[in-house]
Amino acid sequence: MIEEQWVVDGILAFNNFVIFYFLSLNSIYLMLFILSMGAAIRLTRQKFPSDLPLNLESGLIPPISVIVPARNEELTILEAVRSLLRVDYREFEVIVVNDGSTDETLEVLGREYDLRQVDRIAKRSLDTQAIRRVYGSISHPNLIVVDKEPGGKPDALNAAVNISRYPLICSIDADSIIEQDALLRVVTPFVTHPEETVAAGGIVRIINGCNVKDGSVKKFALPNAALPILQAIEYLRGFLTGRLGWNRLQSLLIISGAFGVYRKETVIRAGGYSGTTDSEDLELVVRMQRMLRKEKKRFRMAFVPDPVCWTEVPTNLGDLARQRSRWHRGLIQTVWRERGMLFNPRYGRVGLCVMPYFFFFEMLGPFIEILGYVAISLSYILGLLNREYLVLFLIVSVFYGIFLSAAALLVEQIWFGRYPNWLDLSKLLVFSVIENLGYRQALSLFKIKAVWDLLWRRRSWGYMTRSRFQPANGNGVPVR
Amino acid sequence: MHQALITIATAIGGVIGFLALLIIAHKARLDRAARTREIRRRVLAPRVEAYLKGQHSGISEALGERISRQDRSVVEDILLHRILDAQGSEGDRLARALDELGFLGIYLKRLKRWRWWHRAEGAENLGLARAERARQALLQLLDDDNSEVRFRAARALGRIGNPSDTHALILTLNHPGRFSTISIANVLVSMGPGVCEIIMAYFEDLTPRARVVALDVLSAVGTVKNGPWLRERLKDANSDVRSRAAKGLGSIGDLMAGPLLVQALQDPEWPVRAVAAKSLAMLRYAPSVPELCNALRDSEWWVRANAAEALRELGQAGLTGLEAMLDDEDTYARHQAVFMLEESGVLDERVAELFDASNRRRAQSRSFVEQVIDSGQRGRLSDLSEGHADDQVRAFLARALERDVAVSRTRR
Repeated sequence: MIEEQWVVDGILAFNNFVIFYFLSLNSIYLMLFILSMGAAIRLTRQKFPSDLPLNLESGLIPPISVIVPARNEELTILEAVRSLLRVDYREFEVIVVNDGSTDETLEVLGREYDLRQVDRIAKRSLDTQAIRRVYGSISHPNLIVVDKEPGGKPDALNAAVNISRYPLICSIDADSIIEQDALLRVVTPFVTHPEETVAAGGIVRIINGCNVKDGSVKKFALPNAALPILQAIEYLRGFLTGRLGWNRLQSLLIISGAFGVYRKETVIRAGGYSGTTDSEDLELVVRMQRMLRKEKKRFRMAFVPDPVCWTEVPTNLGDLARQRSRWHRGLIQTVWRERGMLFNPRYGRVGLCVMPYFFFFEMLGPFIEILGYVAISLSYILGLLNREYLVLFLIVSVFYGIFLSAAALLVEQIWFGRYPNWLDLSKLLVFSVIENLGYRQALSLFKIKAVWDLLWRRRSWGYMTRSRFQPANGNGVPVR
Repeated sequence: MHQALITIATAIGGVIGFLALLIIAHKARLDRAARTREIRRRVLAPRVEAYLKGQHSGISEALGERISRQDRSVVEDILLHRILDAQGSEGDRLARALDELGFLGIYLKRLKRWRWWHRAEGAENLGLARAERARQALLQLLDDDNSEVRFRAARALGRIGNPSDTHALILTLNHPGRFSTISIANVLVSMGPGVCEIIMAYFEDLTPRARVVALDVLSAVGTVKNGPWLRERLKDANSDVRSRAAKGLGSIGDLMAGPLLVQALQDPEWPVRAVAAKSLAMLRYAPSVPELCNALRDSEWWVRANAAEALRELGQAGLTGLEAMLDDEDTYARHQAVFMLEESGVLDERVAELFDASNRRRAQSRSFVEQVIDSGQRGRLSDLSEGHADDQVRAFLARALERDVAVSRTRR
């Protein structure tokens, strides 16, 4: 037993702090959930079937350059490009950047799309690694493939920005496919608020388990493996309560790199994508926020929850650990770089609320959570805590979490209903409970590893084991 | 404390359980409703179809028996979905059906409802039904507090398309904070060329920003008749107005504007020069070739890029101009010229003629290839030196490219 009273007092004070921390964190999530419900109701009521055809026919909708950075994506790149070439949009180009792949990414594209070298001239607005060759497609005049020296994802994105012709750029991951009307939907904020909108992002859903044919998802289904289902719940919570809620507060700090549209001029003015952090999408959005707020410009960054981008998520713990560790490294690097915004009234709501939230709850959160689990368990074992205290801890950490996961599922089911299958719905319900009993804690551990990596200056990208998208012959529910 | 915690835990557990039940019940209700509606739709859709084919004088007669509230909602759904793509007499019949079943009256009442989404939906549906009698109410809604309602009212007025309301729609462009300019421009474009005269009449009442959008509308739906008026706008003090006027002249195909657009290539503002180059291409105005070649040396990238594309699109005269630029002192001008000659297929044609039977053509092609190599843009030629079908051509290109590399090394 611990006999030093100050140690006991210290442990008990920390335990109280942990409970306070969980209560605050989950209450913020609850607030975001309430805001997101309001936003979901509003968005659903603003949808009219006549809107998309009007935008599709309009010559006044800004054209888009869709940019796809690809490194060693030979298994998924063809489906991704196919999905992009068949989108409903009046004027767009697709720019695939082969960032020094060592597999056959470039060759498979060359074979499928009849590529030939062109001497296309780019306006060099952003610095990048050397471009080896630029290819045009004989069969698809709006497809451009850029082969460049390896420089990482941000460098590939910057190269594509340089080569792009249109005022809007849309970044899409090479292991993702977008729905046919996703571009038309995601561009909506640029149409409804043309003077102010600088960025917009769509929702990312998991493709594992779905059936894909010719670059489009033919049947929705959740996979049978537990890890992707847990991520499906996590994505629902992150997008449908987190981002939708922040969006309602006009304080969005993340637009997913897997599917985001930006005004090119603003991206270039902000200095383009940066390779100095491991999460180029978050870093760019925060930097744009800082720049535009400093300039005292009226601007808008929007999250649109119905244009869907389907992406492959890790199916084993190793890949998941690497991915989350990289995301957290990116978060830490970004918050550190932009620490001047913390509690700075000059940056308005973002400086006073969102950045502190990211600092205390997203960045430091994993440490507090893990230490909290350890401290409270040990305190209980050592007899420093009574059973009531333990129950209180479980209520604020686990029960509250389960409630929020179920709440996210409710938003999904009532306003979006993308999982119409009873089996999938049951899986989601069961896993929204299981998610809080081990998975969330494991994620916190992966995030702690990120700090270890940063201390040892390890910056591996954390490439994921890829598999081909599942062909359309399995079970599932046909797409609406 | 113990009791309180048990109560809290039970309460949260209860809430979670309630949420789970809510999710399940909601899904079950939706599934059931969808099934029932689908069954009724299968029965009612053929009756609506029969009415549309003129087999019945009215929709009530086509539907037969007194229809239930749920059936009315299914029929409303069918009519509103059909009316989205309906044209001419079919659209009229659908609108009459909505009126006959009393839906137009309901939509009109919705315009006065307290909740914004009811007003928005009412306006949207009245627009789809092209309900002339709703015009006054819709005009009033242009001042609604809710942006969605204002937009739906504007859209409905655009669909109804009465010329006396057009000026009200045009004047909304003066309030970009209240109306999305792109959305209103879309509405005006959807009204067709009839809006042009009204835009021109009210142009002076518009703010500079609104004028730019109005000119975009004119570009989209204008005709050659609007040419003289647009030409005057090329002299406007505002460079945005000048550039949009230049775009408009190209879009409407006003050939008389050719010389003025050539002059616009000297405009002090680069966006005007860039758009003028594009418009000259749209007009296929061949006399502009020398000035477009000059524009290839412009200080602004977009002017050079647009001028190069314009030359490519001008046909033989433009391509000859591009060939003449291959040995220009300006690197960008040379590179743009090579790229456009590649894009237009001239480069591949010339390479195919490297061993042509005609001496003259052969000599011309070889000199062309040398010029391209000297320009510094060798990508396509390198590709052809590896992948051309003809061995002789491949060998010739490989030698020429190698010689060039050797010369550059010696120079260094």
